[in-house]
Amino acid sequence: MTAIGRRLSTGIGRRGRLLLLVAAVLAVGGCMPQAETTQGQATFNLYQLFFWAGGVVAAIVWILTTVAIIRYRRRGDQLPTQVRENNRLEFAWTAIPFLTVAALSVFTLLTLSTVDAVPRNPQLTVDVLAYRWSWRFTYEGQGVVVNGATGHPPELVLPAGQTTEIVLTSADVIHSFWVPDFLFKRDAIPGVTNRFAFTVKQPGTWSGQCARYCGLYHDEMTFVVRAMPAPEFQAWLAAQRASGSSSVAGGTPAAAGASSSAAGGSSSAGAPSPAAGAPSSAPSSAPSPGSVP
Amino acid sequence: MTALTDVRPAERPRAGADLLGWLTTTDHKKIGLMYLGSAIVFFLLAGLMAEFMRAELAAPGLQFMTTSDYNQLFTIHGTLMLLFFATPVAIGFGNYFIPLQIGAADMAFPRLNALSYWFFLFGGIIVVSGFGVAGGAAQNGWTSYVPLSDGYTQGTGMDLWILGVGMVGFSGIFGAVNFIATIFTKRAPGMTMFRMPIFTWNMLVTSAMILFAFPPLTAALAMLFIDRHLGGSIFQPAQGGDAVIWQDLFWFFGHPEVYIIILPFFGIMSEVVAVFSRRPIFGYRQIVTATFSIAFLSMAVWAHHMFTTGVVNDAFFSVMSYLIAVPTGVKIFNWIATMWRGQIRLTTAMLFCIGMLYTFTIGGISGVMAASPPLDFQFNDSYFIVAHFHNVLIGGTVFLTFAGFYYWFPKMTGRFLDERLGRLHFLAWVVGTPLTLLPMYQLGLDGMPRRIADYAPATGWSDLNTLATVGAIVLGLGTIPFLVAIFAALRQPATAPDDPWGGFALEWATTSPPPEHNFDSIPPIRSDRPVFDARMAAQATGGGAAPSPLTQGG
Amino acid sequence: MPEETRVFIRSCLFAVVVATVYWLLSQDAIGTVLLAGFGVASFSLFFMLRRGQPQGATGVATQPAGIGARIFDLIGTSERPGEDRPFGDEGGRIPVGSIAPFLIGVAVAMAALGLIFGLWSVAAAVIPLLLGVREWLREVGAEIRALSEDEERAARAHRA
Repeated sequence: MTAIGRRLSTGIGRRGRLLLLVAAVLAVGGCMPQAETTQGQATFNLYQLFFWAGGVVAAIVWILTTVAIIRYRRRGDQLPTQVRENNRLEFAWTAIPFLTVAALSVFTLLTLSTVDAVPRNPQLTVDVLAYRWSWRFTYEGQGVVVNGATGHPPELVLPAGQTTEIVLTSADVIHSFWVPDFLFKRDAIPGVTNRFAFTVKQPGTWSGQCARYCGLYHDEMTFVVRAMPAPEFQAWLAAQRASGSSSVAGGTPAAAGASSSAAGGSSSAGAPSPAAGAPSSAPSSAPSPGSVP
Repeated sequence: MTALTDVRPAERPRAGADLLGWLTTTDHKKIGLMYLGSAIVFFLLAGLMAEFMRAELAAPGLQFMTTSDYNQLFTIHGTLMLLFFATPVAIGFGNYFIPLQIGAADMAFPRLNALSYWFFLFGGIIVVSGFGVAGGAAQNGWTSYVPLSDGYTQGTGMDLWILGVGMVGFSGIFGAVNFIATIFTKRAPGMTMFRMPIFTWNMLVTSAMILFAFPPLTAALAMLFIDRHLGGSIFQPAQGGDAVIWQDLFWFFGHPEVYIIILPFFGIMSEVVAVFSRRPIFGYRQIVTATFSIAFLSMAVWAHHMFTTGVVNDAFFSVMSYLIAVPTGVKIFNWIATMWRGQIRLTTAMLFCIGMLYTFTIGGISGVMAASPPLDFQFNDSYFIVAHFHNVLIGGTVFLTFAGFYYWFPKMTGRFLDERLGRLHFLAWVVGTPLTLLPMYQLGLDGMPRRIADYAPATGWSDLNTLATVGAIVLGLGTIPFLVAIFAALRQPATAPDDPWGGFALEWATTSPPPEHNFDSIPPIRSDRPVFDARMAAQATGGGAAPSPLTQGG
Repeated sequence: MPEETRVFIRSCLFAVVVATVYWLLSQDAIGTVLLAGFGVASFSLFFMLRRGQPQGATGVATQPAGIGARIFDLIGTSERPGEDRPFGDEGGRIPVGSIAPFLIGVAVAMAALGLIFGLWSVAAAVIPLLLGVREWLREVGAEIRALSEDEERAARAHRA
């Protein structure tokens, strides 16, 4: 190999390695998980757009900076040109970012309307009550309640392929309902009822958790989402109802948890002991904070 | 300048009078040094807390502490870093250098200046003292959301947090009033507003923001105290209160605060980049305009912290937040344009500025992502957000704080910080920052919420967490050369010349360190670079090499 | 208009526009009040600075002609010749030092802690507070006297 060839190849090699390094760095910090809901799919697509647009901007800044420090490193005592401004240039680098964020705004607002859409007649509505430090899922009109306890995450069973509406509130402090694989979270705020909907694409099991810091056992406030085909889901509902659901509907979370665990189909393994501060009434009535001084 | 004589005969420094000298000083330079020193102490304290937290998170399971300990650590870490390091370090630099940069002998209200320092210091001590009371320090995060912080948190730690933060709030307001008055009334003849250095400009805008943003925080803290101790129910929905108002008030302070702790450092960046490129700052007027734009917009974006509450106008706050990216980008391009065709000297101060261009950019881009409500539904309160704001705060505020120290240390003490230690310091931070933060971005996308002491092994988060902890250790060890450089420098005799870097602004026209009254004489001010102009004039008359074609004035 | 006053009329105009748009979009009372408060505070500062502006600060500068020039004069970032003087003057004396700020800081910290730990701390805070305020006022008085002596001396020198 000639000297020139060797120099070329090392040059390319160095540049290639640099590119690889940049790719690795970006890869470490930028992979959005695949969305499991149709709404999440819209968010996922938006993220791809932002990720690559951001990558281009970062590349421009990094390349310009790198070129500047290499090319214009101090070489002598000559005073460089003392240019103070350039109106055309300044206008360009104001206008181009402005147009970029304007475009990003449009895509954002379009995606937002998809993600925030709540159908008028959802196939299933689940009331979700967050409390320190677990969750209660009440299937509206089905007479089924699933309740968890701190350390015993409850299971939210859903039909795949159908749209589920969630009606979310909190019994005590602010929590947040988050299923990372759905790419969505919404806060559970006492005194506020939030509604949102999602359509799970495929049967599967995913973990969810409280995302808003809510006190000592915040990290243990998890739950499980299990989506099953619609017929199986109906069978599950029937099984839940059969196992003494009449006492469940409108009952206390403790009772609900006990019965759903007795049914054997739910996640509350072991005897669910209601944590101190668990709500003792339905979300519609005034929740009683456990420890107001 | 007339009538700078003392009211009382100056007290001769006696042996043992040193402490009294610091307690009674009203000299802006001494107060500036006290601000900077205290802020660095709080920075080291809060950094140590971060190291403990990273150690705990390195692997699943609770190895070193209880959940309650962890919750106290992240609360006090955030509070100290934002309110007792980042804000005061900016005020410290402002205190020392605004009067020097505008050619004044002191601040407009020297005693108020001292008062605001003591409020800050005692506020910080009160917040930290929470660790010593029963039940420990506050543990609801630096945002202290209600109703959690209200009826659901007992213990003195939370109250100490309210009072400490309240005191630093007043300290900030006093400082802001003082800065505005100083800049408006104390400028030397010839120093028009549009000849002020960019750092002074940015401190002026920052002060105005403090003036508008801190009172809502103080009000919110007072309401919280009323709820907790005087039977109020402002934030308790069970008694007819509203749990969301706190977030509105807090973020109406909190979002401007984010810019309060970045704009002064953008000012430092503008100074350092220009001096070490030997060119005037490119687009002076555009940078000033961009600073104003950032400040104004930042007052109207607070609810982008509340997208997931479901009760705010997501579209409005999203678009307003995007707009902030424009003036921020403008500044970055102006800095690069300043360097372009310059004669760049890679001193440690300049290295930190260049490091800022690389790292801050990632944080800025992830910030634009987080301004999109659908994306924020995934990012909010996850490690993605933790990575984002650490990325802008380390890459921006912390890097530029270091740049400020390396740049101005000779002026403040008459001694240089060792450049070899500085390069080591820079290397550790520029490697450690992405090493810590990039894994955090991915952890957030994968579903790791912030403010958790522990996670299950089944989550698969442990590898990335270990990586982040390694990065945090690099940052921690990387701070040691900085501290060694400071202590080593202070043991040397003061030999730094007046103007070691070839500076532009007036602080380089006086001795290092400056005398008590700052200036014996001030060069004529005909542009935003009076010291540069004077140097050029001296070269021209001294028969040296003729200066290149110069400025078209300020 | 000098830049010092323009700073706050700019933020006032921004706040008014944004508060209006925000109200129309959201009908959210809390946010609108906060933004409007920002506008009112800005306007108050503008108004006070405009009134407190020293004579002659704008007198030298020519008034702009035309609506565009006027708008630019209000919010633009430039200045006309003749506006290059600060609001204040370089007179006045600088204190050598004062224990008063420290004493008042201690007093306020003690009083704040008293809100948690008991009123005895608030009561104890009265002592450093009074000492601090007395010292502060005494120094201010001394400075005012010294200043008027300065002026007299200057006037006498001027006559002579």
